[in-house]
Amino acid sequence: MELAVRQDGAVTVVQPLAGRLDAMVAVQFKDRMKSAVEAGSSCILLDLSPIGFLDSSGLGAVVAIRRFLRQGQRFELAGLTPPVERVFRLTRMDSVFTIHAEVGDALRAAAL
Amino acid sequence: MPCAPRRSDRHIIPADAASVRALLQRLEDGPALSGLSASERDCTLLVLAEAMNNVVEHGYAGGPGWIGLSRGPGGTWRIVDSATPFMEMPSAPMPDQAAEGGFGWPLIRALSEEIRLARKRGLNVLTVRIRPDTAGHGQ
Repeated sequence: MELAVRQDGAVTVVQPLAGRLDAMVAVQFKDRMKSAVEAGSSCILLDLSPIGFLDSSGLGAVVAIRRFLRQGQRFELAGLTPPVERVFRLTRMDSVFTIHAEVGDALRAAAL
Repeated sequence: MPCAPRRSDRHIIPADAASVRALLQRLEDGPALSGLSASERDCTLLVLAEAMNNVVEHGYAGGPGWIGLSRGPGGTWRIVDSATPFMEMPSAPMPDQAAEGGFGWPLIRALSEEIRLARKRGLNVLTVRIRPDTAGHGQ
């Protein structure tokens, strides 16, 4: 799974270029996110708006990304579609992450 | 001459992540889920994904095998495999905040109103009925 990485002010925005984050791509996604986090700025924002299907393996990969963070580096989420939001809510992982409705909301919050 | 009965609601796939994904995408685009609300469709696809990926990763432990999926009576789905038998249905609760795995069975239980696991003629047979979207906005 390819990732699009761009810098917007202090925020490194990472967007998966695929519609499914599932058991087939979870390990590869995690590896590529590790590289993006290591090369990224003090705030990493994962834009999940392209993802229409997330399973427990994909969720596990998102949760695992926290292990790659440097001291003081933040990791936040944006753009959860309804099926993705449901998985976060049912597993209560929505209480683990800062989740923004859209990337724009996260960027405005970061600029304050 | 009458056509042979269509069995488009029965599927047998190799037990690997790519085949599971391809089957879910066929179901998503096919008639099997028509008549369901968007959230019921999403929940069905998620439960079937978790059930089949469990077979791939734990039943066959990544080795070769097959998975059968079919519609049963009363809106049930049957997932059949010939992997090592389950000793019992995993009953662990949703993992805590530090977990990176173990979400599969808790998700299946959260979204299903009926789950049965049986050993029949040397096969594992998992029967699930997805919780209906009674509130109109789903789980």
